[in-house]
Amino acid sequence: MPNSERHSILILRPSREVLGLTKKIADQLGYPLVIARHGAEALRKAEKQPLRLFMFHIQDPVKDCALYLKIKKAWPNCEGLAFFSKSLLGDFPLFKARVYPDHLIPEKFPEEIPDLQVTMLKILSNDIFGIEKYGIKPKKVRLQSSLQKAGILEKIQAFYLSKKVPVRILQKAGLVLDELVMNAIFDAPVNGRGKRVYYGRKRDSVIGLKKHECPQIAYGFRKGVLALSVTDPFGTFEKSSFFSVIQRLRVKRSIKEGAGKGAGMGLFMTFRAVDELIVNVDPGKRTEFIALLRLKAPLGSHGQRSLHFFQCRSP
Amino acid sequence: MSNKKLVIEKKNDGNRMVLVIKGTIDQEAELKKVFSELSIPVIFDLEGIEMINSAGVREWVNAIAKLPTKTPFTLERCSPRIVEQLNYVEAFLGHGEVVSFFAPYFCPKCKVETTVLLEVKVMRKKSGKNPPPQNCAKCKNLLEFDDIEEEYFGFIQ
Repeated sequence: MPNSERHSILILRPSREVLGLTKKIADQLGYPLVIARHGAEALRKAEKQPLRLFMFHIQDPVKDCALYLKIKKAWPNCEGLAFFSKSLLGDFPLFKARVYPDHLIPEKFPEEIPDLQVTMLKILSNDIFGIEKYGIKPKKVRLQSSLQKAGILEKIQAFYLSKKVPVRILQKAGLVLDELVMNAIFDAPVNGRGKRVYYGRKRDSVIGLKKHECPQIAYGFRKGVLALSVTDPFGTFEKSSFFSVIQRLRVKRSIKEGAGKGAGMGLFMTFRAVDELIVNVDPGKRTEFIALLRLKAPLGSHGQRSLHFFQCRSP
Repeated sequence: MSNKKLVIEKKNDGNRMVLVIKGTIDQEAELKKVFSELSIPVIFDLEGIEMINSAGVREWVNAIAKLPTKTPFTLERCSPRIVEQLNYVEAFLGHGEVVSFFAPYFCPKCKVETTVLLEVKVMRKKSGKNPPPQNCAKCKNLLEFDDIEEEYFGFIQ
């Protein structure tokens, strides 16, 4: 998507490596890059030009989150990309205010660099779908009935076993796929009036999906990373659902089983199991969940999950 | 990736019932009927649980709630999948008590993942929420704990 409205990228206190990469991509895609050394400067610069992307490190959850809130008010369509360190635990005012950055990347150099690269390219090009963007050459299968789920899981299990994936990761991948497929069958389908078709059904019900309701599963493997995706043809998943689950994760708040139906519990368990979770939504058309699981996380990086919510913009 | 069906083995030793549960707890697990028939102290042996999905969590919580409060029960040899639920799902434990559980470790020399059985009572006395040091069965080197300590041991009060 060309930058016809001359939107800029604003970056606050970047590290050398992040700045280097950001400059390169901004140049490549024709986006002016604006650098700020502190919050006040960021605000001043944000007033002068429309922003497409604001990138910041969360160092002080109160100040940085208040800053993001102000920028979001000025430029509602500006996406937020926040880096955060392991030391930042607890309730972010940002999340309490329900003003969420679209992308949360843990600071664990050098892993954040490829994550940032693909994220920026997706945002700025508005080309967001596809597990292939994460270096995966996937195998794909379409699910037509809930009865097929077990067989497909077995087939995918056999594929990963042939790649010598450790049992611990295989179990997590099984859970992720199970939850995402159940979400695609029971939660995602809506009729022409936007009403959910199978939402209230018991999860052991047999659902034969109509041709236009069938989700697609993609799975693959690159060195050290297992990747899965489930795409439904509805695009009903909302950003607020995504981040309410993230907030539960961040504050390690226990979930009350039985309190809610639908995707909440399953998503919570999915997020717990992955290293990186990407949600791509084209509203009313399709939602793609991509899960990346590292076979062996570097020591000390457990629990630092990278989370992304992309939404297609109208041309 | 586990889609093994749930298997429940009952062993009655007179004073108590041991339930060995293996496989996957999901939407097809019919736990409520089995649990509601228990009337003497129960030990749940959960080493063999390889997966529990969100529908399975619902089944478990509803079934545990059906156990009469006068029927004491313990969870023993809990697999890591069960520990995750104990840490995050209110009411997963009901009025029961956790006796022992498996914790994930990793040998950096052999590059092998393993699990070690830990006793809750011993941890409370000795290490609290810190993983107790363990040695590799093969090379005898110190193992690394392979999860987030504060998350994994969160259920130990």
